[in-house]
Amino acid sequence: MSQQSVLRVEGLVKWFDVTHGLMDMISGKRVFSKAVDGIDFEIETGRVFALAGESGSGKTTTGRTVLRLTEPTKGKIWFSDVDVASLKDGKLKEYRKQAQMVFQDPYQSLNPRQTVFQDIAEPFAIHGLRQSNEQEYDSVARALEEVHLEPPEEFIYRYPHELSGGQRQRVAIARALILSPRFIVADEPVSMLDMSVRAGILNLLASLIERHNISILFITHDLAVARYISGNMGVMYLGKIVERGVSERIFERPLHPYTQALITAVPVPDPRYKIGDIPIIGEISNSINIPSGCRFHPRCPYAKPLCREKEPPLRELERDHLVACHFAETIQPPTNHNRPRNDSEREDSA
Amino acid sequence: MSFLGYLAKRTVVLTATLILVLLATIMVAGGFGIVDRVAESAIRQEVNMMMRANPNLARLPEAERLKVMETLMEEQRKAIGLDKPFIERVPKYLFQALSWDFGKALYLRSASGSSLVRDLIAEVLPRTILLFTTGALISAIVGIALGLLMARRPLGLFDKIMTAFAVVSNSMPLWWVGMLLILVLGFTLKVLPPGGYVSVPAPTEPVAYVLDVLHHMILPLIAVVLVSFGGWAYTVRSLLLDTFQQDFILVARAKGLSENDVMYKHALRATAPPIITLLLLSIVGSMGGAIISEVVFNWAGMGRLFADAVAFQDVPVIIAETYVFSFLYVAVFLVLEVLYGLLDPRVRTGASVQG
Repeated sequence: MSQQSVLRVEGLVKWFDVTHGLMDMISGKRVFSKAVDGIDFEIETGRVFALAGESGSGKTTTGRTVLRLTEPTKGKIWFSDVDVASLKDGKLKEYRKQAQMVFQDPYQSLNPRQTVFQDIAEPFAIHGLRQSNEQEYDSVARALEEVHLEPPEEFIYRYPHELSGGQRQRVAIARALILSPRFIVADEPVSMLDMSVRAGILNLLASLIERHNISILFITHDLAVARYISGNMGVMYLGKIVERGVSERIFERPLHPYTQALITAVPVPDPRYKIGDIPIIGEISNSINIPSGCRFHPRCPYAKPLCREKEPPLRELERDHLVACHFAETIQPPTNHNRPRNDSEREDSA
Repeated sequence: MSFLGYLAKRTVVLTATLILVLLATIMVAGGFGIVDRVAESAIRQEVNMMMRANPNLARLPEAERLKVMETLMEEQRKAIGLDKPFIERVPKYLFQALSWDFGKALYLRSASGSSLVRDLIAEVLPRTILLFTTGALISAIVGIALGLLMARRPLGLFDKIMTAFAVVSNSMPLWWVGMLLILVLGFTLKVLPPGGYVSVPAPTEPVAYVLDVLHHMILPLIAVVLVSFGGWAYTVRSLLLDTFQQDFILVARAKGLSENDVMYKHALRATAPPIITLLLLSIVGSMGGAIISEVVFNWAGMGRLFADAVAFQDVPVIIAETYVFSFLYVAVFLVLEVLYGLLDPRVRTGASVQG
């Protein structure tokens, strides 16, 4: 593997056993929800890799599995030279020190019975890094300053219910940073926040990545956010990555019909701009009864008989731009070159 | 609002509740004139005895004797306030009950022969606490421990077996299980005494007496624990699993906490308030005894006393028992408020509790 990458995921599979009912149990028939069904990606040091897709596409499960918060069914998760998927107790704890998580809902992810200080300082005790009380106070205060909760003494002994949503998310980020991890999974870290607070949190994340050389797996359903924050991205649909590559390029020239539909759905704050129209039909299928062939075919406006029979492989259509579609060459993607940008979308996120 | 201010407010509200309950009991028990009729007949009896004891009065002619009797009765009525309508006497009854002065029972007598309601209750309450409160505590401790184990592997074999057991055991009435146990252990196998709380005649030596009571306690205690620990285990399991769904538990795991620490430091603490509520309420509830089961076990406790008081319409005893229970419940609610404040910082500051 390249020296550059912090995390490389190979053929990751996570099936949940959802067998229920007496008949199933007796007949031995197992029913699985195939949340993640064989995906590969790689995150370079100090870079952000975004996973985008609708609810139910398996992106959150991917994030949790990568951190071993749920057990992978199959596949390898290379962290440096270690396969995280096979780590056991002691080594796994070591990994927890290096890999952290920021959750979607800061109202849920902070224990309501812990003060900011207790919450952020707890990892010290867990990993045998206890210092004197003064030193721990200083570390926590520094972490709070880093996430712009200033002055820290005003926040350090507060409880979560005494903080606003944006402040809570900053606490969650400070907690993730306290042990100087090399890798963070950020699961929709801004989607529960007010628009006005989002930009602040995103800028904070971007500046922290630069300063600490942290790599991030950024999970989002919002392609505009993905484009803003990430260097590379993958678009997930029903447990598979259907398109992967440089975020900017995917946004400019999406090759998969699903990506195209997602991008045309991103609102543009310009009344003169006419939103392109790529219809996707209906809702995402459930991950228990996955459609045959191409998983997207029941909703795809370009679907042909082949799509129902054969699952398209992820292939490199252009350099560093992979797509899983039989007809990617023939589908004329809408060009987004003339598409006006949101003010919040940066020219180059990396 | 400060926590102390909050507590002060709760105290006022709970005291008002207590007074309302007492008022309602007095109105229901005394409002239909039964108390008055009972008191009237007691006065008549007393005056009769007084007159018979006095030879001068006994020799008076019939008409005059009746007149004297009427005057004496009127005096007695005045003395205990029976001359005024019931509604005017309510404040007096209320005040007496509030100051733990329940007066005399009308018919019931304690084993030592006292007719003071206070003595009656003091005699039976320890028995009820000994059996039912001990049972409630054992059920809770065993149930919480098993609930923790069940939550370890939800839908695992142990969890499934315990869930089934909880459903079955919780739906069996205590008195029915008690009868079965008495039949099997008491009569068929003859390993335990089938009823009562002490042998007749009771052992005179203190040590032997205590051992004898404990021996009599085993069978009802088994019954009490058997029907309730499964429900405890299932409740604790469900509360814990609910907490496990929360993101902050996932965060605790991501921090690197061991499963044990996640369970005890994060999940159990979040689950503590409802568990403590259940625990305290079941302890207070247990002090009320169980009317039918105390009859089945021939265990003369609070439940039996209440049943007797209702059967004999012994109003002071009914009022006293109701008041003692309301008082205990209100006291427990106050303790709970303080504990909630200690366990949940959101309550302490009076913030809205969400999430």
